[in-house]
Amino acid sequence: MDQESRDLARLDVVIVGAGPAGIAAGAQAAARGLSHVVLERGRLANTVHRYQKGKHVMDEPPSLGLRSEIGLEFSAGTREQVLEAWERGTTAAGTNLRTGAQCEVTAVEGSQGEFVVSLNGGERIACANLVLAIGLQGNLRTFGIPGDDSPHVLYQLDDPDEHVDKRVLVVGAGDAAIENALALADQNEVAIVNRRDEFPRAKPRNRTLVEAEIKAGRIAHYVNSVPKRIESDLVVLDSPDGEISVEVDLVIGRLGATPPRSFLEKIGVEFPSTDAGAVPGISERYESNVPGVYIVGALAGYPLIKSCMNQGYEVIEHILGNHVEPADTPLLAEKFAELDGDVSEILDRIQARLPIFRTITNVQLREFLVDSTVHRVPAGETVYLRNDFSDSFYSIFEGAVRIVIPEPEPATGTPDVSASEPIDDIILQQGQFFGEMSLISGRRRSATVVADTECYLVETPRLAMIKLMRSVPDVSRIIDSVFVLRKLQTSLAPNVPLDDLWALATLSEIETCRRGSVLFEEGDESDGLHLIRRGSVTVSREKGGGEQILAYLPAGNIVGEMAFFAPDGRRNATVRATIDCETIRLPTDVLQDFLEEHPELIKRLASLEGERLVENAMRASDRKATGVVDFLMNAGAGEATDILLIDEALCVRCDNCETACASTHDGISRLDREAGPTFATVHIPTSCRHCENPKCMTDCPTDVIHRHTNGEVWIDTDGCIGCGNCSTNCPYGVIQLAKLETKKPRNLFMQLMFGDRTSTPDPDAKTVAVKCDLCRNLPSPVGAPAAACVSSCPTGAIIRVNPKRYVDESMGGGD
Amino acid sequence: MSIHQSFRSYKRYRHAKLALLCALIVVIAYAAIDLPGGHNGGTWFGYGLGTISAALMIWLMWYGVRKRSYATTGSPLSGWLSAHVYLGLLLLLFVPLHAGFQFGLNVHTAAFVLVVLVVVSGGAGVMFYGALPRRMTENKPGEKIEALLERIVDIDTECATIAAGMPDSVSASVAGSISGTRIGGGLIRQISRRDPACRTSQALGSVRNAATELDGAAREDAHRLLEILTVKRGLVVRVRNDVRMKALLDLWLIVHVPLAFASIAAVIVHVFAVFYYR
Repeated sequence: MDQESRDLARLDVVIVGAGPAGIAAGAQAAARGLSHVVLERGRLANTVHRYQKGKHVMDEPPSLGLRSEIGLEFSAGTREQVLEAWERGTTAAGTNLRTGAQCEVTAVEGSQGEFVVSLNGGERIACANLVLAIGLQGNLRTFGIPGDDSPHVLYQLDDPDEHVDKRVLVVGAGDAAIENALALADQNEVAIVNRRDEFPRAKPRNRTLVEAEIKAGRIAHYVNSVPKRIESDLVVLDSPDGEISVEVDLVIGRLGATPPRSFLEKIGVEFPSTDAGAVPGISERYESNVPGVYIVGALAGYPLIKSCMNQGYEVIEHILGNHVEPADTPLLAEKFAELDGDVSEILDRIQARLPIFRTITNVQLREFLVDSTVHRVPAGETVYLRNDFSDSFYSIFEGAVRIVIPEPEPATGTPDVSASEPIDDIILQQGQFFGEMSLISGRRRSATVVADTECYLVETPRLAMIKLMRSVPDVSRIIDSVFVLRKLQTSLAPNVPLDDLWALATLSEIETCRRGSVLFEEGDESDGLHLIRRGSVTVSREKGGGEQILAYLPAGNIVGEMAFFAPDGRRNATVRATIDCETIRLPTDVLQDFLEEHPELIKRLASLEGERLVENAMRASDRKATGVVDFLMNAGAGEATDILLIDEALCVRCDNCETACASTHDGISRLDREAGPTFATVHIPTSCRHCENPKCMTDCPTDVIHRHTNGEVWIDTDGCIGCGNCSTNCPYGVIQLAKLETKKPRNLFMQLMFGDRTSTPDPDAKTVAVKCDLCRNLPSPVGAPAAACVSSCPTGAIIRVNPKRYVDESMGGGD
Repeated sequence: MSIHQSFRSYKRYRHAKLALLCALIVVIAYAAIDLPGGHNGGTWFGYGLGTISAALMIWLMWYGVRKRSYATTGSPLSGWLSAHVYLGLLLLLFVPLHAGFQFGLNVHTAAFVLVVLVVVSGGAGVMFYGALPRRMTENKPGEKIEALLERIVDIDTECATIAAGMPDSVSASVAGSISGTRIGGGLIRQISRRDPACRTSQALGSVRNAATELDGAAREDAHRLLEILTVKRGLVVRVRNDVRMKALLDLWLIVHVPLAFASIAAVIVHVFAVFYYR
């Protein structure tokens, strides 16, 4: 057969990409007898292949099943098991799979029924339908400098063990770069080239690991540098010290990937937004705006393996003209049980009514709703209470809710500074959302929300929301600006028309301030007013050659208002971030213009200033109190909601706290009494502080770390797989991996005679992550959280306390 | 730093006030009630106070049970200890009043002596609890005992390296310091914290003597040895201090608890004797 005639042999379907979606589509095409080919420029399941050896592959979400009709197997297991099952299944199904560089698709021409796909090798394939299962990897970015295509320059690293005793330069500061550098550092001399001086984009865990390696001198770090040209055995860097040459054997550039947007646009596929991370719009049948071009897998929404495989199956059925319900339809139908209409109608209505979800694809919306819950709330019922510790996000599908603005709390001992006129409650209508403040700040609910009419609310858990915000920048932008608006509305200008506030909100800026650095300094010229939206700060003033801390302010507070009233417009105190903070800054000139239009606000700001002055005066605190506050903040108390503190002047070292903890928690104490920092006699034992934005929760593959409305962060050990991510992510080392023990209680006599060891290790128990859960399973005494360690201390040396309260009392203010 | 509340001042001395009130009531009653034949254990007042005292003893012993009830709610253990201490002191008053101050060389008085010893040992415990914790923190601020021991091991390693090139007398005494320095031991030694034959002190002496006879590099080595051995001795002293204070915090309990059981036994004998030989 000559080249031309092979070109003319038209296939029913060409599937591009052999990831989970592509091979599932291939298997189904083979099962249905469609003439087909799966084209893969790398190898089968390239992304999974690149996982490190033995890595555990998850099968999330647990509620969603893999379609039983699919001719491939998949369940959670090691990388090797998963790959082996897929390879076996692909062969058994009779899939026509072609891999290798010559199979890379370079162009697509024609329209439905007569597409012509051109390959890298020059081959052309005609087909009726095209399924794009190419994922989001797209094209790896290259340096774009002389020598960037040399053989010793790589843009991905398949097997770190292939390289030994080499001088390696890793360029990039993301997770991929860090993971490569760490993997290579064992057997090679590794340096990282970073265009900044830290690793802000990396996962906390990777950041911690690489910073430790750099500190220990095992990995070199070229900061604020970029490669200029690459020669055969050296790289020239543009660094703060001018041009420097670094001798190398291997250069690895991890510069990210460009999404395959231009490729798709050439085919004619449209994108709903200009965001770099946006994915193309597709129909319920996975068809793009170009008839006959179907998009499945990560490019259509979230990259979850099971969903991708289900979509691969479904897309072939759609091409055959068969009606097939997506695998998650029964799940969604259950969630929508209280609403009228079928699943796809409701999805359409959700997208039409809730502007925040307008730019996300059908597939993303489905995935998102699988994680969410739809509630019917009768009029007058409370959705959540002020000071609850929940952090889910609510969208109003139908009806209206009332946000009850709390009465301003009178400042301690403040004489009559009646804050301002009463504030009206805020009514939110269908299409709006609420709960974003706790979502962003990680703090307790700032206001009670009550159903104003009967309403239907979509409640989304924090993690699902964060995932959506990360993958769809549009959503994150909307939430951010509404956050600013609401914050202005509730804490500054409650009775100002919304349109005016919108104008102000658009002029405000979100600023970040790293832990320990200064937001503004005493004597500085004022750059405006800051609303703290995440994190916490200390306010201090220079006194007698030292710094004296006046206040500790968590998220939700305003700082910087006093400079407005100072005659010289300068800061009269220093504000420092105790942990990484985000603030909303209202620039001075913007605020001044706004105040001219709304003079009633001056009174409000002035009363705030009055409160602050009185508080500061009351806190003529001594040096020791400042020392304690400083110590607590350095030890990370600034992000704690509830911290365990021991007064060593009272502690008789009997370890009854640890015994109590172990005895009420499967034989394993979740606190280490002796470990941890001490200042004077204040000791912080190693135990969970129940952070505002818990880092342990950020990277839990099975999502079993939860926050209870009381505030405790707890791990559901039933679902824990013992991966240890939370333990490495915790900056305070309070999470241990341990085997739970089975309990064989001794009777009282035996206890008195032989001590309290009541449990024995169970060799068959699985290893799980354990930490303090604030004794959530113990009966709670009225008005106080139960904590076995605290209630079992004979001398009253140990307390659990909110750092804000402790600081206030230490400094003589507070209650 | 008033958030921490000591068992001594629990709820603004609630139990101290309660104990004082009880004491006042009983003393006034004792003075006011005029009994034919005067006060003694055999009167209705004597029986009454005796019963109250015995019940109080049982309740005081119940503290040991409460201490081990970790999953309990209600008052914290520090509240219980507060009550245990202040109400326990009442026995010193109740028992003599119960007996109308009739003491003698008999089983009844023996029971009282035991009770007094229990209260006194408890008082020692309260004293230790009050004084030692702060001193323990000052002794090794912010450090675990393991950290001190690790530093000693590090010093030992360095000592061994330096001493290898030194005269035999020096290397022998340094080896003695490494292998023979004792921390802890029997109760007496733990509490006295003294080791009359401390090998580190001996090594310091012999290195000091040897140093005068050395010169050049060897002399510098000897000086370095002196320096780190002095640091080591300081560490050893701190560890011994810690051991001593920990021992004291435990020691009184070793006396207090068995004596408490003994006093209960004695009271049972006392009650039996009273009714059997009536």
